[in-house]
Amino acid sequence: MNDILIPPCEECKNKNKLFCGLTPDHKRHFSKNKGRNLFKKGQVIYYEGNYPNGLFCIFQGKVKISKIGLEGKEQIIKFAGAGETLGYRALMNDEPYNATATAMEDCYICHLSKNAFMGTLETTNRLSLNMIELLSKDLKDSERKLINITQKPVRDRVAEALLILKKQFGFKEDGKTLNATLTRREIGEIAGITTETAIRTLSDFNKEKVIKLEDKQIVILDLSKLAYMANMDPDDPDL
Amino acid sequence: MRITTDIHCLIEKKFDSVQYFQSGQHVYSEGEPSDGVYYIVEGKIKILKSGLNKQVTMWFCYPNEFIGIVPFFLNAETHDSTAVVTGATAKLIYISRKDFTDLMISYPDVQKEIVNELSKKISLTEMRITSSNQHSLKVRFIEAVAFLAEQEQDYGDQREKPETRTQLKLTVDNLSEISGISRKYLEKMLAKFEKKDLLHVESEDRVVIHDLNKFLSFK
Repeated sequence: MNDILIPPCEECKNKNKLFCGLTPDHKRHFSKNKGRNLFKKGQVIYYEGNYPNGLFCIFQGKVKISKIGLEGKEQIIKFAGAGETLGYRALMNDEPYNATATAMEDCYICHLSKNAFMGTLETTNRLSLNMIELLSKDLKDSERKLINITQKPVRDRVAEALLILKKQFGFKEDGKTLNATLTRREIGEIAGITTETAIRTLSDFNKEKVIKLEDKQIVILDLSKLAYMANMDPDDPDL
Repeated sequence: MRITTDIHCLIEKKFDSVQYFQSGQHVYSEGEPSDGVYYIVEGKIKILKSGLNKQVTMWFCYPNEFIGIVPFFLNAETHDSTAVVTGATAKLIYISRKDFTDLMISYPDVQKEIVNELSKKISLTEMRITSSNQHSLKVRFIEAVAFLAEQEQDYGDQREKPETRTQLKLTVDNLSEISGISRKYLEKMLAKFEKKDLLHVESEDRVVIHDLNKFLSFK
């Protein structure tokens, strides 16, 4: 995939929390030790249960991270976009991936070798502290999700799923259409409900003019009401 | 967090801000200012988070673990959870933000342990999310036992276990809080498992799983 125009790490304009504050030398070292890949829409980047041999960093595109339950039902754990890293927990702990990463659209993704990353980590406090910060954020997010799933009713969870998508991917140029195309099944997998319930609840929101369903696109008509329905503060910086 | 003996000794020697908390006492509460972390020397701490209508038990923390570290790393001004002593009196060491930063920079092993512990907690939370969402009550119950076993594996009663048996001792409350199953239903479920001789309910504070591996295989 040499024809992909992915810049060297030291020239990358994406905001990456893990590599924030590293020196140009560190970034040059990473550049020399990375591969550049194109993953087509639907292609699996890594599978739950496999061992990592490096770190993935998204240059462009959207990725979903999901787990398969006992009965084969998928649960979307989170989404990731440009500038975000994938697979760091498994790499850090030398254990298998505990979820599967799949490209939601054509994605350009760098793969940094395990040795280059772990070698730098050993000697660079900044990188290690960034990693801890990233994990702290992940833990906070997953705890919040657990509380929501165990306590919130279905409507609140669907409303929150839409807010999560808005936070992760933002709006298109019109400022109100979610910049992500998801199936009803996938929305159900984020909210932890069946596809049928997701369809019914989205249809209710559509009737109530909170959202507008346009084929696979979702237009948010009333963000404040959606936040209210999700029991969240519309001014919450996390939204 | 499985801090090594060397670092444990260092923390005890270096920081003299020892505080004792009685059973049921709050070490800190959600929303209170967070200006440092605590290191558990003795005792067991329950970490709770506010939900919509009730608090949710997130973790049980044990000796050699730091608590209150998430606000520290996210640079938050307030605690995002409540820490309550459960069981016997707890002995904790308070470490200020500055001292904790110095400790981590001087001892990279502390950073490694924090990474391991956070990773483990994320994995366990994700397991609980999938379990709450998709699995039957029976499976949720078994997974709650697995969760508590994972958390308690290096501590207290588990050290008493004979080499050939993997015994686990739990309380009905802990099981109910972690599985999200009501106490009433949980009691029925415990009775069923007891009939199958997979566990023994000695009292509300003592549910003994005779053979953990065999129990978990029932999933």
